[in-house]
Amino acid sequence: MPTSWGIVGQRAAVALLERSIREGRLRHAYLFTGPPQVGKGTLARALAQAVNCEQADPPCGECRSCRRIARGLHPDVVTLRLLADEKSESGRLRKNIGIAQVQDLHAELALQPYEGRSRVVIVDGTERLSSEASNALLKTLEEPPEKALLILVTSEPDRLLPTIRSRCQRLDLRLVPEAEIAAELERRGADPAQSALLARLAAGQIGWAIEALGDPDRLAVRSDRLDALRAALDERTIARLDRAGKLAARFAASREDVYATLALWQGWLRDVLVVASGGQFDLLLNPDRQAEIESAARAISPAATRAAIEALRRCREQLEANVNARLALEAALLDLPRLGSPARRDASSPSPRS
Amino acid sequence: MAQALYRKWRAQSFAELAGQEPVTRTLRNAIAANRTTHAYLFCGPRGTGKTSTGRILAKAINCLDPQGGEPCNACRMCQAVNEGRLIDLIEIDAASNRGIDEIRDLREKVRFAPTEARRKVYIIDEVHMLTEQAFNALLKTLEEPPEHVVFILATTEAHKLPATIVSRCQRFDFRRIPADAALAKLRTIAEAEGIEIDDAALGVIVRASGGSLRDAENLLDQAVSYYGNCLSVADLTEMLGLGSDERARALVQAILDRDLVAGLRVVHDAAADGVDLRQFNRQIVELLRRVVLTQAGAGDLIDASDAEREAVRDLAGRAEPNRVVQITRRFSELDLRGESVAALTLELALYDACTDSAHSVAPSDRLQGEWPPVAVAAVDAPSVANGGTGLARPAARRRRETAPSGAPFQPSGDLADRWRELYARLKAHEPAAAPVLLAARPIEVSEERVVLTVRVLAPVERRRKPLEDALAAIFGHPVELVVQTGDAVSAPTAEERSEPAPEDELERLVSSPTVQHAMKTYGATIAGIEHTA
Repeated sequence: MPTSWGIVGQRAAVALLERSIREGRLRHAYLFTGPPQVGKGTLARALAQAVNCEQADPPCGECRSCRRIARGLHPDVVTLRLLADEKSESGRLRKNIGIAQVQDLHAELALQPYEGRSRVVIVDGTERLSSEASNALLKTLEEPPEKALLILVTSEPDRLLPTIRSRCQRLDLRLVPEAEIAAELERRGADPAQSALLARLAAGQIGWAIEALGDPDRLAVRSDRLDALRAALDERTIARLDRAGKLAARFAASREDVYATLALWQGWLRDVLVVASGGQFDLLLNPDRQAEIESAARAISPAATRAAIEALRRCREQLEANVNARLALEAALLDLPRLGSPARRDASSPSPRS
Repeated sequence: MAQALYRKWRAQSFAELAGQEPVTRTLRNAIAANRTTHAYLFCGPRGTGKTSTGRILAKAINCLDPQGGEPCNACRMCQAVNEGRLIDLIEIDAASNRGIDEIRDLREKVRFAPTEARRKVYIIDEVHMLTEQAFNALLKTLEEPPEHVVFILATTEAHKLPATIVSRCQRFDFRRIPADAALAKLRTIAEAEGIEIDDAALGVIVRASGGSLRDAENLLDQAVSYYGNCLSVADLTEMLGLGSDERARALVQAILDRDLVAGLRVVHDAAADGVDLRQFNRQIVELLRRVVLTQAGAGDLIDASDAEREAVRDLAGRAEPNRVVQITRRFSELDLRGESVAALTLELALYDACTDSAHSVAPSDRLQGEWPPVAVAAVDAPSVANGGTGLARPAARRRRETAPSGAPFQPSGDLADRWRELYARLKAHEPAAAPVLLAARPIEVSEERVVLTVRVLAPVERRRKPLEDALAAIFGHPVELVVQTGDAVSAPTAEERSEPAPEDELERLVSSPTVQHAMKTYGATIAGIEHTA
């Protein structure tokens, strides 16, 4: 009887691992791939629990071993991840997982398990291994000591060395179906409306939905960002340049912040395009913004909307290529269509509703 | 942990080693004739048998009862190696021990005689990861090691080794495993492991493995994990994402029918169900490819069932070949790595394909180098001083390098496509003059003649010379440029702009010092004109 190991979605992956354990076919090295925040790390920990669980029906999640793994305290379960950068005062993380970390790992793997049945190594963000660290992992990955299990986790398998990929059994995790996310959120105490909205916004990334559930600020931040886009569409050049300047300043502090903003804006414009193309309501990524999206769809031509999405996409590409952030953001903002003041819009193109 | 197939079935003798006959024959003869050398270099792609051969060679050299160059795998030396406990076989992971200290240490230990075997064998794996000093420290030892030592260096990246190292070793290049050898090996494994699988299914694995036996064995292993001991072609194509399912067919049909809403629905449902969109896109491209093949009359090249063929034939009747080729190109170039926007990327491609929009990752973008054009408006911005110049300059330089290259232009596709492509090449070639044609409407684009309609003639005429030169360079021969006036001007790239750009305004823009400066210094191009104030 297949259980779910407490994992939402990913039924195929869980079933495969479960069967492998039952039939004694578990391999020494796995590569878990899939989009960010779909449960790769959670599944890796569940597998670590499953091979170390003290109960008959692993992973029970209740026994001492399972609980300690869940809390990251088990001596036989090691996680390699980005360490904090001592040189940075703001507590930033280092850029990669260095060879020293892998060498420490070798030393540790040479020892017998302290208490568990297996030593489990989880590499969280395998694509962050430096080139030296990746190479240093090759021999261990191919022929680790007995009782060792390596789980490599990555959302970007294409960035790994082919020699790394070739040594692991690969397991592709998928986006979690919307309905399952909503059900999980309800199980965690959210009301149905909130669950439905978060599940839609999560776009398959259950981790995001659960975080957003525990942190109402996330939704507020999203609202602010969408409001900003809506405001920008009404603005003239000078105001937009000013806005771009502020975004550029934010970019210096947190790249991810600005990337998330651009993605959100693209999603909103995409909704406008969907509505303009005659798409139904349930196709929207931002169902809570329906009225505003519908009015924008009447005011902006599909071609202009499409061009604006393209401008934002290009902007992201330029930012990733380290083009001057302010220039790139200014260009993108100036490429957004202008809705104009409501009065003018009414005069020039009478929309059906107003 | 049970052993992975690729470890369990590691070759134990030269005879078992798949697909490397030239290497194994040479080594066997050398051993039989007792003419082994002191340093070997094994290079080749992953999973072709380098480490395995190293271990077999170590056995063969030390075997107490060698049989025509093969290790006997029965004597105590061979068994010790097979069980990984021969003290005189030292396997070094150069990627983890890459410094000069480790090599110095090695140099010290090399001097001691072997404890039980005839010769000490050092296998230095991933040798390309040694540091420069470590390589240098190794040189002398590698050239003249003590009598009792054999070095075997193995790497996937021989080009990273200093020439001085390579020249001191006898080099063996391992080739990718030929398909029939890999297939035979997989067949042996499958029979011994009780896996039911036919040759066609094994063939699918071998083709996906890229000549790496480890990859092939791993895929077989993985397939058994997924589907159990009885495997069919369908299982494997599903696992590898090669099959084409109903969703992909529905989407391709929506694209070809220009039914945007239906297409959006398919993508939405696929994403909501957690379908891997990258794999989904691979299926779409594969299906489009089949449509292209069918339209070209090469439908018999497709590996598919009759029902699938019929479905493809149906799709093939829904759009004209040129459009399908364009769409195929568009979808095959999609980069769906940014997962959070993967659905969006796919949807946009869908939108473009249904509306024949020009936002494709067109050859035009390629020709301009990897730096996307910076809008002119942004160059005036106050922030140019804080670093903009240094970053933007490579764009201009790169453009000069890449622009004139490329094969002679051959008009293909419908008129709009031909002109779009030609305009892109013109712009890459002659960034200063080409924008006057930004709003031109093509009448004819052929090998002999390019006929365009513009609103105002003068600006174009003034640039006739550079434009004609550029055309000659692009086509590879002189081409007649005919420009006439007319209205109903549509623009190839500015078609989405709210206001059409008349040439006289372009003229004014192009000759303005600011814009000139922006184009020259930053490689900017005029994407369109918008009235901002």
